[in-house]
Amino acid sequence: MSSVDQFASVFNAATKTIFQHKPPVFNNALTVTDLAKEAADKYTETSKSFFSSVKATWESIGQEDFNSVKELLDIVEQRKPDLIVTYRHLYSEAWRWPHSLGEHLDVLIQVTDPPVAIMPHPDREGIPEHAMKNTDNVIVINDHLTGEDCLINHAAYVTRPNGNLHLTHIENGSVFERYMEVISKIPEIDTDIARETIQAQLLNEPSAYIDSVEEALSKEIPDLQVIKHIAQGKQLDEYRKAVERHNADLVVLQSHDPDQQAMNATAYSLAVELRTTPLLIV
Amino acid sequence: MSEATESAPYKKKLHNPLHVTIVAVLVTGLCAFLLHNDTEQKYVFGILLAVTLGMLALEKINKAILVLLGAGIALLLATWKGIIIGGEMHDGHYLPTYIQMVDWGTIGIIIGSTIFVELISRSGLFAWISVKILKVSKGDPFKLLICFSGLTVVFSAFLNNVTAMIIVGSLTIVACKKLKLSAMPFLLAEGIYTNIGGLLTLISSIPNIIVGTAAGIGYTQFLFVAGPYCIIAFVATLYLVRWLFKIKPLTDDTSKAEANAMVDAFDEWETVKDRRFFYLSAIVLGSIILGFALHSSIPVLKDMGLEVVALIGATVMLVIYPTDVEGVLNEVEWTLVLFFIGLFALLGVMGKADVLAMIGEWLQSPLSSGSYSGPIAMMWSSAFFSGLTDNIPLAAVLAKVLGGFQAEILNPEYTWFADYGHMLWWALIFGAGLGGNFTPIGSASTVVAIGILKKEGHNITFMQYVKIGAIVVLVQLALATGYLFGAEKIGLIKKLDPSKVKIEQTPEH
Repeated sequence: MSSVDQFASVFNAATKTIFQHKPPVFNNALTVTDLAKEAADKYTETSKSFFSSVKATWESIGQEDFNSVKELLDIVEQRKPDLIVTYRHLYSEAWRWPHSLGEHLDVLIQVTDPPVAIMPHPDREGIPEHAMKNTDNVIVINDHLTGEDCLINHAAYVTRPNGNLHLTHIENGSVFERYMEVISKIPEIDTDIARETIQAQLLNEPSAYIDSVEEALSKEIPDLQVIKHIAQGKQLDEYRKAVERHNADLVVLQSHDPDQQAMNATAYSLAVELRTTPLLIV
Repeated sequence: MSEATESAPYKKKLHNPLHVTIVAVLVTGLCAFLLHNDTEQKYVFGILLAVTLGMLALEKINKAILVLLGAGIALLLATWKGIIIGGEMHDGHYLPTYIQMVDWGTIGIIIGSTIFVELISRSGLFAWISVKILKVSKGDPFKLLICFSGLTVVFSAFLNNVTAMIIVGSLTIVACKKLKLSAMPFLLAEGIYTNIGGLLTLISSIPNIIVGTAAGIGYTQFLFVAGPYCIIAFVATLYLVRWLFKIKPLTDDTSKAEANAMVDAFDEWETVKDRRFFYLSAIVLGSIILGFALHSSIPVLKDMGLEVVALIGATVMLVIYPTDVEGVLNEVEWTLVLFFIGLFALLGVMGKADVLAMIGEWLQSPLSSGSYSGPIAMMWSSAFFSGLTDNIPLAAVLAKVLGGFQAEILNPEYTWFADYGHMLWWALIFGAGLGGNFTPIGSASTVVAIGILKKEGHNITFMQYVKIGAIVVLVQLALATGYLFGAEKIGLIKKLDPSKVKIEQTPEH
């Protein structure tokens, strides 16, 4: 221990990202459907019941209100909802094929600010028994969970008071192995030490952050149980498995990627694939 | 200054072996020629000392290599001319003269303290204390300045200045990034504060050890004299730095809360990997500090040197932490150890060859000029030269010179030294300790501070630093001058007792 870098590493490791509990405010919720008024209202009631912890004024729009993406964006701009609830492939039959979200949803998620809940398509069959009933098991999925207070605050808010909030961080195993392969070719770096210490540090950070989430939420929402899932592996596979294993009622994802115009890659893949589980895109 | 660290802003070039060989051969040849032609030995060896110290100031060659080379040439020439004998039998063992010239106490303190400091660092104790102190500041810039400065003074009082600077400097960088503050004023202040902390105790810096030991000043006495000054200088420098860098405390509650949350995010226990080792290290460190402080009153230990405390501390720590003994021993500053062995041998020869006596004669006039002007001349000139170059050889040479005067204390010609020799010792300690702040290369810790700043993208030119350093040094020296005379007036600094003073026999006047 004789260099600035060694001590700076010690102090950097001692710095923790602490979660700050700041629940979101949902005054208005808007369900966006391509249904006739009666069916749209019914859909709204189902959504309202599902998001029972969201104390908001619920409104709905259907086929009488809009058709094009432009018309939909105008309505959203005008009504300024705090939460949008909708489903994939509005005005399209493509919902039967799990390869995209549909043009309305694609644009809606990227252009509008409020969180968007993506529910299973009303005509979809084979929805699990536990799904669409309540938000007892909410799972948060993000490639880099540490510091994502906003995402977790939304997830904690929509989870029922006695429910389980699963916080998932999967470190990308392929990327890690690629770096280890490079390190194994550098004589100045001990590969075994690098593998052990880097892996421990990568997993230690989200773990410490989730501990701070648990500590903060235990004071504010004492009955909510925070469950930590931290591992290393193939991210999409592990996320899919986590959703199935914990019978997730709602998956909370982050949509915006500051480095690109399109939706965050992992979130988009999951939003396309997880068609029978409600999602909340923040 | 210590050797360039990885953070050093001015990268040293490797010396050219051919150039060094040519200079060594030329100097040896010239000295041998002059000695052969009956030139007075003090002038010949004086040239050798001047060349060695001059090249040391230029910092073109590793200082250990340079001093060992100088010492080697001096020993060969002195033995050839019969100025010294090669060695003598001592308790049935052959003891070379150069071995007897080395102050093994200083070497023991350096080796012992490097080992126990390294091990205590590994326990996380210093980092733990640093984070705790950071939290006290609540992230407020002015409180942060107070906390970091205080931490630097305390660490540099018990560790070497470079280690103190590295620990506090690295925390400063991490904390300032978190708090979105410029690290520059804090790091420059810390560089300045290491020199104040380095004045606090007898073992806080190498010049203190050399001069304090030569003067026969005990650990507790040193602390009682230097301590109050360090507090005065701490407060004065704090407000000076605050004024120079316009550091203002936070005023609004939102900023205070945000800053507090930022520093609260530090977890001091994350710096500790093994709590049992941590607690044991704390106990050992406390015992070592007590050992140094109470050394003169602990039976058996009082009959041995201070280095025994450091070496016992190092041994105990090695017993507690057997994990990486080789790694820990590699952290011993061998450059510094070899530099001192060479320096002591070189000065030993210079004493025998009357060079130190000659320097003493030159210095006698300004130093004996009066009870005020003598100590002032000593303090301000040693501060000036310490600012320009390494203060260790300066302190070593002047300590030998003052030791020579002290040896003559009963001689009627040296009554002036009996009158205010004690003030000259303290003037040298304060001058050599404080002068390092004058230039960015005057002290190793300032070199480290500027190195860290450069790494973080802040480039400070030599003159930019001098504008700050000169103001600080002038204020600190003015305070030290007033303090020394005040301390003498109230009896804190006592006159030398001719019957008890430590007499160095080597230089003769």
